[in-house]
Amino acid sequence: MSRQPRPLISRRDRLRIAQFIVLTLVLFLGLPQVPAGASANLVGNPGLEALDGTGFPVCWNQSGWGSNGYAFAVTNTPHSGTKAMSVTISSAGSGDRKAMMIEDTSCAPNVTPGHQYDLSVWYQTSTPNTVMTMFRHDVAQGWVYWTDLASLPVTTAWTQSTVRTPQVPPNTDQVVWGVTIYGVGTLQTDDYEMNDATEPAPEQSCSAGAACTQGAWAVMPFNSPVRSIHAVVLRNGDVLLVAGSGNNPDDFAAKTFKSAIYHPGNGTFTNVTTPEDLFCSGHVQLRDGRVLVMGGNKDYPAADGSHGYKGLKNSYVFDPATNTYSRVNDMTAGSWYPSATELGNGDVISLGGLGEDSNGMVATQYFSNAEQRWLGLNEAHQTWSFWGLYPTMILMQDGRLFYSGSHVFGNGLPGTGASIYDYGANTVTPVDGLRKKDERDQSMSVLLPPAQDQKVLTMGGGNIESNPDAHRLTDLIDLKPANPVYTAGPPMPGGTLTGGVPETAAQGKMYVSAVLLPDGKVFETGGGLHNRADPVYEASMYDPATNTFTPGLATDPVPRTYHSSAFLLPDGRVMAVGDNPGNGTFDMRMSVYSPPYLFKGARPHITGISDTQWAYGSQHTINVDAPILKAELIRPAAVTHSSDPNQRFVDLPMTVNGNTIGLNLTSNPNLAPPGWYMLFVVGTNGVPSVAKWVHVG
Amino acid sequence: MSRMRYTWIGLGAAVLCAAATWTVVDQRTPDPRLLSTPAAAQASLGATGTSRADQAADRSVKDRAATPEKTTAAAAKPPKVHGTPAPFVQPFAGQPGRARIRPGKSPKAPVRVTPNVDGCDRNYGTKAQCVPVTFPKGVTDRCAWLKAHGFTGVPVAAKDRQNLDPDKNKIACG
Repeated sequence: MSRQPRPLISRRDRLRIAQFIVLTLVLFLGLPQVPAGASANLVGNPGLEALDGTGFPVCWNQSGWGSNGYAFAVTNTPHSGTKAMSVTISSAGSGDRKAMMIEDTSCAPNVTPGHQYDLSVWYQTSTPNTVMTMFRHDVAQGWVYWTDLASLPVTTAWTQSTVRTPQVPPNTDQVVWGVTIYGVGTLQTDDYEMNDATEPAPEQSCSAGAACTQGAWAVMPFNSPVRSIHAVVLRNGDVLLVAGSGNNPDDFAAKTFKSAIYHPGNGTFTNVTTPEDLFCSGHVQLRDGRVLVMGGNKDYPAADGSHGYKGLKNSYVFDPATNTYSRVNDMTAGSWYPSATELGNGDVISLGGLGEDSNGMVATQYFSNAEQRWLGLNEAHQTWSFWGLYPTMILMQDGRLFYSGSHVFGNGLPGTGASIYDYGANTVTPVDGLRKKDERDQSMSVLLPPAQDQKVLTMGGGNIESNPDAHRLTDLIDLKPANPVYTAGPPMPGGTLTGGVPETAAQGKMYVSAVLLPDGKVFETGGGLHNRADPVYEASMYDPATNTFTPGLATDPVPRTYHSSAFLLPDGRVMAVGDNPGNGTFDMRMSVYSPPYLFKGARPHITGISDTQWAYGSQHTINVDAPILKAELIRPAAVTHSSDPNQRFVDLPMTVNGNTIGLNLTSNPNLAPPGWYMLFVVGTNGVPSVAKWVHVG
Repeated sequence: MSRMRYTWIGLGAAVLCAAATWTVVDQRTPDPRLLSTPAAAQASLGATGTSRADQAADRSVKDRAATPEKTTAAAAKPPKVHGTPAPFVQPFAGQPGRARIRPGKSPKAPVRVTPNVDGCDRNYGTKAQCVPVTFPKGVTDRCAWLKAHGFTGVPVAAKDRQNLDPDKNKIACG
């Protein structure tokens, strides 16, 4: 019996080999993937071991400014290797010192716009006054300051600190960074790392049709019970709507003054007893979340022209816990259309408006949060300047106020129409470049996201007195250079007038509403072409990163001109209220806008938070359920007449460890004045979470 | 299949696994000093100081501490105490060379603001209405404009400053 030839590989063997290959492939493919390039340390001479001819590490230089006493050194007490680097500030004075990467093509790490990088450094410091600082190379501007990321805790042991950068701005090809020390003490660093940590953007699909790119408006099936001339988002997510007499002289005569709380969660309202005519008041949230309301309407103008509007001196604090107003001491002067800006110390400055005699109010009115009272005239610094009506006074990172030129009614202030007011030094310095400064009546200015970037955009405007067509000019100012100057921004997109008539190329709008969104963009909506007439139907999205408007967003079907406002809700939508045309009617409808990001996929969730009381310069931990692109604090709105100078978006640099994220709050209260903020995270799909409330300061 | 064949297949698989492991591990744990330190400097990187293993151990402790045990783990974790850093303020916008406007004396005369600061001509309409002091440029028929904007039966409350009541019946455009 002949034996059959044995096959080279039997059927059983083939099966085993196939099983082995499949198993191998499964094991190989199942291993976690590391993003391309994530492992490459981009820092030159990261261990500081190579020294140049001066004895300082190659690729590093000694930087800083000011009058402090300081010394840089290479030490022999490293974290690893043989060398580390120290910076000592030996005597207090102004300024800071930092060892930074050299700004040249050889040493500065190359980066890709839109990417994010994890920066880490091993350090020891005897002072808490330290911060990781970044500069970027802009292909058009050269080297410019970018941002500060995180304070480093005091430690005598070598400790590693890691922070993720925001997305690298467009036109950036290189960055440098280092650790700044700005207090007396010694900082020692070693073993720097910089790795590309860009999270891949997920595939996006959207089945919502036009809403995918334009967003969508919904007019609520209920009306506001009050004329919503003033709107304040409260620390509990409700909205205080203040009418007072609501620009209705009959209600004024009858002493019928109204406010209401809107509860977005269930679409209901609670009426609030309103002690005076708070129509035309100013308002701002205090550090404890209560609302300081100042001034208001003491009288309407006389038909014979014997007097105009008169300002109230009354001031109240509204408490969201009890939904009641409590009176505080009077202001030093009547205030009809006053500004209200919270300072970094929690105090409030109010400027401008009309006094009790209808004349311009020239006092600087200062509310001490510690004393819970308005200071007397002689207790506050006085410039005796008239700042106009509802002047937009934006808190700068050094505590000065930037008057953007946005105002209400008529011409701008004499001179350039914009300035910087230094309350401490009691000086005012003009700022150049604002175009059509006498046609910025009810334009809107916003401190662009993030607040750390210190840029302000002023949009549109008109003039109710000369009544030209409102324009569509925007002007942009960067408050970082030594001499900031407004420069021309992109024009706002044109809209349509009643009947669908398109605007001409020169026509724009006043009564502008601009709302900072959690994704870092600015939604502008509403407006009109003339004094209390001719609504403009147009909405667009401004992107601070690219300085461009995306036109053609969905428009509010309700006209929104005089006495209209829009504001961000904690769920990421935008609410718009009010319209008071010249014929004396008032539109009580309320609209809600869902931006395109709400149609682009699942929302990330903040599933845990270490605490809700945040001190400046501290880090707090959250848990999330999806990869996160960025996190930020947004101050809740307190808006009227296209004016909300306290609106701001504060970036929170992240320390990422999977779904556990450390959020680093700035040490500078002028960037995030004390109070309650909405904490948002934004997923890698660009979709923001619903906000959690945290208290800063 | 002979033992020899099994041996070769097993060896090949081991090489494949080793290569895969090497590829992944190499991506994950580079020596940060060696990767981008100039070649001349790499020679001086000695074995003193903390080793990479030590660093990894430090990181692993940190990682464990930060890992939530449940979805609300962060709520139980105290915030990282940073001491109390002073505000870090940048020297921006110093405006060198710009003249500072310093305060004058308390004004003796008030800053006059026109009673119709809101652009409304109070000679016309109800107190709640706002007939513009200046009609928009290009408006030739002001009565038609008022009608188109919802004004009807506009009373003349004081002087007929804009000649909207030619028949003097105290109703503008009517």
